[in-house]
Amino acid sequence: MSIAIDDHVERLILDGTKIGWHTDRVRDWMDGKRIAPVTIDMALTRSCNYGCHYCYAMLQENDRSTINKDIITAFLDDCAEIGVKGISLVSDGESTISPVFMHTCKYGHEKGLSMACGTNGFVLTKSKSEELLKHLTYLRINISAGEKKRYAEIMGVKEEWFDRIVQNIKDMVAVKKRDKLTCTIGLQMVLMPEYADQILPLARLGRDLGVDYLVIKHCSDNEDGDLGVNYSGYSKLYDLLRKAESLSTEVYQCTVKWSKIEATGTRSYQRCYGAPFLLQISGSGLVAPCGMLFNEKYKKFHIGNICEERFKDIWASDRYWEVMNYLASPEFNAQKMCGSLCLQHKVNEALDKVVKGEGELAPADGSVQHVNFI
Amino acid sequence: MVVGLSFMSKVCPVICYEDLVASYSNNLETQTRGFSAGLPWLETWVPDDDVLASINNLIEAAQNGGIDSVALSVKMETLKLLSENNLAAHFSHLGKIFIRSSDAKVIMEISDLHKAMLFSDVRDYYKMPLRQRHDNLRFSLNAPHDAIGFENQNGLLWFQLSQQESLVRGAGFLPSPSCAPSLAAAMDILCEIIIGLPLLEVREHAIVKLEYRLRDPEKNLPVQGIILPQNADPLFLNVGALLTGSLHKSEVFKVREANFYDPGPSKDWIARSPSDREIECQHAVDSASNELLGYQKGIRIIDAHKPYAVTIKFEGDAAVGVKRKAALEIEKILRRACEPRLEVFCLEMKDTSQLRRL
Repeated sequence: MSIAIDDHVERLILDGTKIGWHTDRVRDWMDGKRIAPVTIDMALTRSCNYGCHYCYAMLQENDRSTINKDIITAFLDDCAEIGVKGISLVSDGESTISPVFMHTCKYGHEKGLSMACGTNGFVLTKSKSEELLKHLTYLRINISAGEKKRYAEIMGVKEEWFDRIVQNIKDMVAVKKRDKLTCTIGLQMVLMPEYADQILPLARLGRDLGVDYLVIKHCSDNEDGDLGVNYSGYSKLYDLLRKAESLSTEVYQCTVKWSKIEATGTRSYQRCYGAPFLLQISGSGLVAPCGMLFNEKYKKFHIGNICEERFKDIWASDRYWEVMNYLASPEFNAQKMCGSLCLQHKVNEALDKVVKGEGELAPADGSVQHVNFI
Repeated sequence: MVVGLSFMSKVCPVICYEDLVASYSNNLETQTRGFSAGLPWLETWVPDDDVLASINNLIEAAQNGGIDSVALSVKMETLKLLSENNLAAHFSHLGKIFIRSSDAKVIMEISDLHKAMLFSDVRDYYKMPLRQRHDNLRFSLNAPHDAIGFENQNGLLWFQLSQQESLVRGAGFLPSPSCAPSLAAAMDILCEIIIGLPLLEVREHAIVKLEYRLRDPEKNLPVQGIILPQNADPLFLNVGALLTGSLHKSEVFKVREANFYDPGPSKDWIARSPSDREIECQHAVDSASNELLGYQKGIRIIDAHKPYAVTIKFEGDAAVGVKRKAALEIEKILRRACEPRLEVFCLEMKDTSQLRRL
């Protein structure tokens, strides 16, 4: 049996994993080789100019260091050298407010890495978009409301910031069209059940702004439930979410991450095999297998810091593989020892089936966008 | 592990390692044809500048030469900083080891070389636990009338299910005459692992658990990357064939529900008060301070009110890398000494920013 990695193949895979397009690396992993991550999700700072109520980064505090130009340059050199394919600037901080943000995107792109960014978009004015978009595979704006007042409430900012964002997005779309760029411009709504009133306004706003997609996703929580996400509340929103999806057009895709929302915060697997393929780095430079393990309380999983050591040395260290092997061993149970629905979740699902012998990861057919962001 | 065989040197004269190396070097210079290492059973031995590799080669040469036990004296000067425990761990896969020190020398007695050779089909990483188990197979039992079983050229694996058919209540493996000792031992341990587990857990994780149980932490890892049964050793493919065959006799492959089995902390551990748990954990950490990478004086157990979690605090100064490594080591120590299901956490760091509020 071949695992149906391509079940969710659409123009964009927004609810699935692209690990099926990296079977060579999976094969090396199965053979016990030290593989480079396909994707690294990272931030250039821990700071953020917003105060979103659902912000998981509040749970990820760790000792801060500053990622400067020399450090990020060396890091990107190392990534290219060991075989990393894509770097998404998302993680636990607002990377666009780092002074090295533009350099990172430009230099990473020049080194042959696929670069992408998740941002609130506030500082990405038109002149910056003109400089930035040509270096990115995708740019995703985090926007969890479609109306000014609710935007300010949910995202913890002044109401007029909504107007700034809307203008910035309009400018991005215009620059993309004018310069015939391939960069995908999308929106992301982090949905708490109490934001239900904003689902349709945001779906309409995305369509009207001319972005490529809107993805509506669950909100992650830690294993103690500190953010108070009511997972049972999502089921009442299914009709509303389907209605939002029906607003999709030929050029605008509105997608709900059903696979995670319907999982109600649970996992079908116990081992974490995804971290060596999809590594996360905090805006403090901390290298950890997963963003959910950034907080100091999870120090046992912390591997190194790119502000102190070269990334290629961290990756080649016994410590790196000791931690990765721990997560893959019976000593670890992701159902009990992790927060809900992490970044590696879909990759974990697919690899767990391979290890259990419930299927082989066959090379996926057809081309797909953003293939280096698994 | 050090096993006492003090009688051995009485039947096997002690060979002086340094003399042997000197003789070898001398023979290299004086003999053109018919070169010999000096002893008839050492034909395949070649000394090595790395003394551990050299002794390893020597013991293997003895095995290949049909010798069942060897006694070797090595000057401490030759061994440099290697301790008796280091030596015992390094050579444990080759046979039973007894080591003693005397007059600036270390005397190593290695026996059961013939038996150890029977396990040459598996990696060194797994040899010692398998060899030890093979001395005492506990589940080599005939199948009861109500057992579900599967037989192939290696033997018969059977198990019994509880009335609700969710739990394995009995299991056994009868090896065939052609079954490799390594597989017989592995299957015996597998039987021990699966008894008491839900069948779905057996299907999904029994082999992963077996592989983990057989690891010898003193040996080099079998692969550089992630250890999986698929890449660890062909032994696990043979175990998998028997286990999968027997599980197919049940309904477990029709189960579509997710497996949420987790044994959780033991009843005994849960029943203790948080302060008792803290005291026991602190005692375990203090007792194992020599394992804590030089951080032995500044680690405090500060909370154990959840039966599965222990919070620690590093009180003294140490490099952050040392703390990271020590945190994982402490978890291993506490799981071994106190409760296998414990998780170790450091103090949580709060986000104190004004914007991000919680």
